[in-house]
Amino acid sequence: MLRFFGFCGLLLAFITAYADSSVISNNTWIAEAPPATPVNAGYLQLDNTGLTNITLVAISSTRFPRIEIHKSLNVQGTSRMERLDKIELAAGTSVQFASGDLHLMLYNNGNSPVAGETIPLTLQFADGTSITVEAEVRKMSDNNSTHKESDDATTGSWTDYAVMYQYLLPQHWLSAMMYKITRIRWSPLKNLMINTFIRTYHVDMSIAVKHKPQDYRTFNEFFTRSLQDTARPVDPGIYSLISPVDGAISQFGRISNGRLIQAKNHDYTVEQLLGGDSALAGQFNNGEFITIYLSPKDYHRIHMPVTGTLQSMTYIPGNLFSVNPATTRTIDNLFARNERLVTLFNTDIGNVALVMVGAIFVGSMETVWAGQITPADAHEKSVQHYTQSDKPIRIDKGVEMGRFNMGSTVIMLFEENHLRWNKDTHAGQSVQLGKQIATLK
Amino acid sequence: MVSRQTLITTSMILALIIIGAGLGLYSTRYFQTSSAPETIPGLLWPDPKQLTDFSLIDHNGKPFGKNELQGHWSLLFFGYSYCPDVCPVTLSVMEQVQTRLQLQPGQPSLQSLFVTVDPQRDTTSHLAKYISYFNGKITALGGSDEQINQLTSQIGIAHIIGSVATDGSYTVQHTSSVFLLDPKARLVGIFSAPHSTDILISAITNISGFISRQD
Repeated sequence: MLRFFGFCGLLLAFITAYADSSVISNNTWIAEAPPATPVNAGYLQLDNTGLTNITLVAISSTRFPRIEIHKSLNVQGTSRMERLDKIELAAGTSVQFASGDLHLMLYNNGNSPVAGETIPLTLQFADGTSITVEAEVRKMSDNNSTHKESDDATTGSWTDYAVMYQYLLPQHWLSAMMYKITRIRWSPLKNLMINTFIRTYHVDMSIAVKHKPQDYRTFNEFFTRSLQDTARPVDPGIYSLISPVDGAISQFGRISNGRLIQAKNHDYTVEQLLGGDSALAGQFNNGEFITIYLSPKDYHRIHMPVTGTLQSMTYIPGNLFSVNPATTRTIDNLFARNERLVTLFNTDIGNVALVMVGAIFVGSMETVWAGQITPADAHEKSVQHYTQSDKPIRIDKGVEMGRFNMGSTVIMLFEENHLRWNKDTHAGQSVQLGKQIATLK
Repeated sequence: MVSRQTLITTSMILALIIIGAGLGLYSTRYFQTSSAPETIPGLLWPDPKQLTDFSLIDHNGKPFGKNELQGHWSLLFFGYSYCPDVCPVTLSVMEQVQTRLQLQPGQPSLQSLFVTVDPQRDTTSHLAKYISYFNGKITALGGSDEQINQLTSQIGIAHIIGSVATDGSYTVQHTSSVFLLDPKARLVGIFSAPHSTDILISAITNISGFISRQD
């Protein structure tokens, strides 16, 4: 019994470690403008390390009469700017401003700041809170040439040390431990864990099939709870691609030169992600990808984004780094290092790969056709190919295909020229299972 | 027990194999590029578009037409001075390309040109102030709407003035690509954003090398 209390303490410690609520703005800077330019561009990176979604609604400064949020759009080689009223940032996600993408437009009224100045900017959020950050004015050319170094320099910050410690953790042992804890049936402890979790993460139990903690036999049953049929309606459009999960978009876009983006200045190859299968990786050349992060409070089942027939399933062993935004920016090739399950489906838009990436504390992943794939206590050391039986497995759009037994990440790959993302899609945006995210073509 | 001698020999052989494989890979790639010129990124070949005459005004007030393109490679970007993000970033990349190519011996003579698509606000004197920021490495070109269209229509790009806000400000949609003209005023390269100094320098070097072998 003592051991159980120990486990319980461990679990609560980890839950509360997650639970600091704040927004951090990193690397805020303003580009010095050429003379006679009445506007400056500004850039920052916002991390929502809290547990609730936040919305940036305004930015102000005594130095600039007006500040707007703009997005440069590059449509078929033509650049134009669009003004945004707000930026939504789901819990646990980041948004990176960058040239040719999101930027602040600061009207300088003829009084253009020069490199070296430091200017306070106040960021206002929809919930009435605000933070003030110092923006340094830099020459655009300095930033171009020193881009790499300045990025590397940030690896010394405390968040990165906090991330690096994961190299030292016995990741698989912790995950195995978590697997056991989340399957404890002793009700006082099990109910305590579930209640603490619901309170900490503001979990909406009204949409669950079973509302009460005591209705679940284990923590894991609660974690992978099913929702009422009406909670996640599936977009019925025949040309719609739906989000397969509840979560937040981490990155999305074109797969160029066989590479996709993990975070700013960190990319990795499709081949690495797919465990070295170059033939399969080749199918997604110039295609599209999307990475969606599931946070602890989300619904943890994965449903089909589009109707498909299972072609293959491959289990690739690996590390179990956390997949939260800070880790994603720091550890190279994160998604190609972590344990993952690659499922390939044949659909109306060609082959679609749906990759379930394991993470620290993800005790296991399951698919509806094969059951549990990655028990943390019986760890496979090699790539496992699962050949399917004679009977084809076809799963309709919106129907469950698998689940994570703790929060993690889903990456989808699509072939070239088969879909168009919704116009308002952006990194950091929260998505809901069943809602359209792209149009098939 | 493996002797020290064997261990050293084995590692040396292994190292040689690795170096050999590396060289092999490198040379295959090298020969592939030279025998298959169409793989040079950004190259517009064969039948590059020959530009006909146009008349613009540079930021010093001097006429600038097709004649001024002859005998130089030209890097060309269309934008406007009230553009805060894409334009200064691209121009600062072009400034670095110009600076670095000038320092390398044996490189072709290159000029960098910025053509405004907002002649209403970008007058000659305004352009002179604006372009001075790039340390004399870039020539700014302006003129009337018709004069600018003489050039943009040949290159095949559109620029559209956006809706005008209450304070009179507006933005202009324009191509974010950078174009390369050869010393015969032919359009031989197009590079799409985002731009980087290294990519542009290697593209210019590859394309100019390729074209000098063709004519």
